Amino acid sequence: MVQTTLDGARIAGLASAVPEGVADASSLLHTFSAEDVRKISDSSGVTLRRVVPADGSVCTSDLCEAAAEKLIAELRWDKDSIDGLIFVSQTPDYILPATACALHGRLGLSKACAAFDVNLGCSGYVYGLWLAAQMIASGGCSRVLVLAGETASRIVSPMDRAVAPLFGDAGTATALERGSQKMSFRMGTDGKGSKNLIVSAGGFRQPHTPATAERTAREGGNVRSDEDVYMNGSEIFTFTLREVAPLVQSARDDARWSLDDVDAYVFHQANRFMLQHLAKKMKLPLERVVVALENFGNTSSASIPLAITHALSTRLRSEDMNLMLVGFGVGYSWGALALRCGHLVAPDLIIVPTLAAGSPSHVQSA
Amino acid sequence: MTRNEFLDALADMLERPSNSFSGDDTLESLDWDSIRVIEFISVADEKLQAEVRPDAIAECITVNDLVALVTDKLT
Repeated sequence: MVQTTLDGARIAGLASAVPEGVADASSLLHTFSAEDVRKISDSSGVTLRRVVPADGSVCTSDLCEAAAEKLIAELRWDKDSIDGLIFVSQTPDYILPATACALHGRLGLSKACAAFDVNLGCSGYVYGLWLAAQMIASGGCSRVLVLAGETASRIVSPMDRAVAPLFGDAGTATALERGSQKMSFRMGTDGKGSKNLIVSAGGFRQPHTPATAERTAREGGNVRSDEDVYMNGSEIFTFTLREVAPLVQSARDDARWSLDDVDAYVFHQANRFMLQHLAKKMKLPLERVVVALENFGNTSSASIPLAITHALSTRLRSEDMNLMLVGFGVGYSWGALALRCGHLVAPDLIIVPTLAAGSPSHVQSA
Repeated sequence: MTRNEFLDALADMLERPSNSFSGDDTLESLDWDSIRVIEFISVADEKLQAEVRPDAIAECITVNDLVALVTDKLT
């Protein structure tokens, strides 16, 4: 695993935004029995999900923009002082340009700013922090925004029970600046697993055709197209069991923390069954393992900051905590961060209204 | 863990009384589905520290086939 230990940056604050639209698993009832749907919900721990409209009127970038504007205002940062912007998502606005550049324009940031996209999901938040912390610790940047989010509802077939009742939409903003929070990162990749969580068509390897967009019957009675996300849940679970425990152990050792020194474990909110199994396997104190997906679902790269906003923001505003942030999934890709942080600017959850979300700068003219 | 103890763990997982099914019973008759596959991987990991391949589970027809996947971890 890649190991990076830094002491030159600090997280100053974070904010999370979700769309106002709410969905449950009822779309599956056209395809599966009520008993089936109940079993899935019992296992995943997801009751409701926040979802954007299907027409593109609210994109991942809009959720991240709302979170960023709120955070910058509460931090009282001069926008000209922000010299780095990283957009972490697998649901960008465009094929090109980078959504980070579009967001840079919409946020009105200075030209003296590096901006780029990172195409990662479940591990992406930790990767974004890893990059931002190094950009600052190297002396290259002084204030960096990590905007991580996903609108997975746009790439999920409502008739695929492996994914439809699980994934929700969210966008987040995390602000880093020069400072002294000790951060211990561990990162890894296993590209052999790329086929197990994939949208295979609609890119350049397998371009869009009417056939790739057609939803057809697949394994287990699921119905989806090659442009919808496919997830092999049992393979993903097996990978997680193999990689996550040693990942957490390594990051904790790097930080010289015992098991009890960690005030909160914030895992990627994959599903409740997986989180509970991981906690038991690693013998973690259950009350310190954050589970915050009942009303949001699995929100990919947004899930860790969203869980922090939901479960820890009150404490993080007033005290220092030892946090273990752990992302793992699509790629396969994984990363963990052990850090001590606190006294953060952490606004309450932002709800982005559906109608007011389109700002003039990115509404397409007919 | 003995074979019988593992069968008890399986019964627990399937939310059925112990001894309510036999090794010859088909998985289909026990309402086997994709969630059960993940639960089985979880039980094998937790009780036996055994890593079971999902594609090997997919080939199992009976309870005996499942147990055969972890038999070298049983006492």
